[in-house]
Amino acid sequence: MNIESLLSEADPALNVRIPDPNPLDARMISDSSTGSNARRVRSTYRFTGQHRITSKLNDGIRRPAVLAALAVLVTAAIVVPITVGHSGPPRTNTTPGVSTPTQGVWSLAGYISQPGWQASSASGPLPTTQQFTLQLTCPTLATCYSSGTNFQNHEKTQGVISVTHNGGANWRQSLAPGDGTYFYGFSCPTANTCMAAGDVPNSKTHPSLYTTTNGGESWTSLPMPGLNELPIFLSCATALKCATIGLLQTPTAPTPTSYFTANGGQSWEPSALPPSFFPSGNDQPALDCFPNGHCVAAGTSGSGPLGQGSASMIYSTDDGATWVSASVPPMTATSGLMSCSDDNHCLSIESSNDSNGYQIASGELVTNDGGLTWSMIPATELASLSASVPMSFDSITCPTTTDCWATTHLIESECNGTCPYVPDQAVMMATSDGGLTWKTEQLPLPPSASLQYVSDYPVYCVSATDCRAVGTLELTKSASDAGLPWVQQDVVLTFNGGPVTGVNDTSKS
Amino acid sequence: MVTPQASRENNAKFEALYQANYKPIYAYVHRRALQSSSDVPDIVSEVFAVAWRRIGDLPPSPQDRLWLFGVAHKCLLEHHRRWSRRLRLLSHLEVQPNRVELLESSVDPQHLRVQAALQELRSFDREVLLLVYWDGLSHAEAASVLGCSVNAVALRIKKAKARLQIQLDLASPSPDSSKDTSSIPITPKEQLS
Repeated sequence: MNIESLLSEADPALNVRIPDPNPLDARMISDSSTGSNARRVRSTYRFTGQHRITSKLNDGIRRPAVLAALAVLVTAAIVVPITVGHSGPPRTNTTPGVSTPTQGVWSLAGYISQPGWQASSASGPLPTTQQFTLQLTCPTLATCYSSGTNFQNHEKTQGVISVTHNGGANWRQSLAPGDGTYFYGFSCPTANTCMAAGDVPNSKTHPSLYTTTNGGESWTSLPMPGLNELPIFLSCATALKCATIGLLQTPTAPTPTSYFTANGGQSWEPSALPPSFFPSGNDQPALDCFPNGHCVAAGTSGSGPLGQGSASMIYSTDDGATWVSASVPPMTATSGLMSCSDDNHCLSIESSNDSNGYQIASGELVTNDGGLTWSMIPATELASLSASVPMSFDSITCPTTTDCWATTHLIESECNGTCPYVPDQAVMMATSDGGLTWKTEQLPLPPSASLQYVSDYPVYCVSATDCRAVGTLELTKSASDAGLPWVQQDVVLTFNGGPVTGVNDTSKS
Repeated sequence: MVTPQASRENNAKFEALYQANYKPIYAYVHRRALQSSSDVPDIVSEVFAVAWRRIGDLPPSPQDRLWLFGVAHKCLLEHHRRWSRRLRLLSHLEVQPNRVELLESSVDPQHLRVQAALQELRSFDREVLLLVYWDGLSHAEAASVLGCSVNAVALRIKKAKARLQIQLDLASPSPDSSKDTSSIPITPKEQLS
C-alpha cells in the first residue's frame, strides 16, 4: 500500500461519529449578544475540567449532549459584547484591603522561553517552541528552577525544566528527557541541588527521580517506586531526605500513596497515609518538609482530586515515615494551596466548587505549630477583594510568617459582560498579616497595548522583598478582534521590595 | 450601529457558515486533539464564537473555511495551555476508556502505527500532510492556511512523505531501512516554519 493510502486510511476522524451541525447551536451563538446568558455560564475549560474529573473518578459516563449544550452556552458568554479598550495591567473592580502589606514594585524581567523575543502587536508568528510553566522555586535570589511543558504540537509535548542563575533575566533549558516524561513533584533545597519526579504517562514504567547537584548543568535519574503511580508532590528537605505523596492508579479509583528516602532516592520506603487524606490535585506543591524532619501536607477528605470534601491536613515529624491527621476546623474544600515559611508556620488557601462549578476560595487555614492544629480565616477576607467577580486561586508563597503572595485569576464569564474576551485576567494578591487581610498588587505594564496578563502564576518569594512569577501574556479582546497575530508568551515578573517609604516619601507600590 | 437588516444578514451568513463548515472543523480539531477528545465540542464552539465576533472580517467562501482552520489552530493552542496546566494530572489518571463515540470498537494497528509515525515528524511536515490527506485541502488551499506558496507546499509534502516513510520503516525495520530521518535535509526555508 502506498504512503498516500496509508495516510488517508489512518485518519482518526474516520473512526468517530462527527455530529451533524445543529442550527439551534448556531442560533444560540449569534443570538447571545445580550448579557443575560453570561451569568449562567462558566468558563469552558474550567467547567469541562470539573466535569471530566467527576466523570473519571466517579461515574465515568459521557454526556455529550449536555456538554455540547453547555459549550454553546459558554460560547454565548464569550460573544457577549463587552467593554473593551483597557490595555493596561490587570485590574479588578475591587477595593484594596485595609492593610498595606507590601511596599515594592513588580517588573517585567524577561521571557522564559524565547530569550530576546519581544512581545508586541507586530511580533509576527508564534515561537516554534513554547514553555507552559507550571511550577517555580527559587532557592536563592539569583537561582530559580521552573518546571513546565514544552509545546511541540498538540499531541506531542514534553516536560522541561529551565534554570536561571541571574534572577530570572535569562533562562536556559536544563532538563528535557524527550521521552514523553512529564514532571510532577519538584523540589530544590539549594541553588545547586534540585530534584524532580518525572513519569511517562501510560507507559507502565516506574517514575524517575531526576537530580542535579551542579545547578542544572547535568541531571541523573533513579527509578522511584511503583509502576503505575504518579508522584504528585515531592519535597526534599536536603539533598538526601525527600518525601513524596502521589496517587496509584487502580482500575476503580486512584489511591493515595507516600514514600520517603534518606539517601537521595537510592532507595525508598513506603509510608501509610491517614485514610481520610487525599492529596490536592493541583500543579502547585502542597507538601513541605524541613531538615528537622517535620513535614506538612494539604489535601482533602474527598474521593479524589477536586472531589468535593473537607480540608484535610497531615503532618510528620520523621521525614515522612509516618503521617498523622491534624486537627482542622470543618471547611469545604476540593484542593488546598499551601506554603510554609518555616517548619511551624503554614498558610493554605482552600478552594471548593461553587454553585456554578468554579473553583473559588472557601477560606484559609493557618498553623503556627507545625501543622498539628489549624485555625480558620473565613473566605470573606479573600472574597471581598473579588467583589461580584469570582476568583480562582492558582498559587501561593509565604516567605515569612506574615507575608504571602497569592496569584489568582478572574473568572470572566461571570462578569456580566464586562470582562475582556481573553479567558482569564490575572491578579496578584498579597498579605502582610498572615492572611487576615489581602490587597491586590499592581503588575507591570505589558510590553504592548494589545497584550494583557491572563495568568501570573507560578509565584515564588525568596523573601518578603524578592519574588519571582511567571505570567502569561495573550491578546486583549480588541486586539484579537482586530485580527492581530496570535500571541501567547510566558514572561518573568520580579518583585523588588524596599523600605516602607520610598524615595521622596512616595510608596514604591 | 448595526441595522436590523444587517443583523439579519449577519445571522444568515453565520448560520450558513456554521452549517457548511461544522463537520470539517470538528474533524480538524478532533485530528489534532486526540489526547483530549472529549473537549472537541468545546473547542469547535470556540472557533465559531470567534467567527461570529469577526463575522464582518470573514472572507468569502470557500476561503472562509481556510480562515476557520486558522482560527481553530489558535483555539487548539489555547486549549493546550488549559489542558496542560489544569487537566494534565487528571487526564493521566483516567481509568475510563476514551469516551468519544467510536464507530468501531477497535482501531487498526496499522493506523496507529501511521499516527505514531506522524507524531515523529516536525510540526510543519505533519501539518501539511494532515491538511492535504486528512482535511482534504488542495495544495493551493493548504498554502493559504499555512501562509506559504503552493510550490512550497508541494515540495514540503514530498519531503514529509519521505520522512514519514522512514519513520514507518523504523517502526517496522526491514533490511534496507537503516537510514534515519536526518537523511532528508532540512533547508533554511523549512526552518522558517
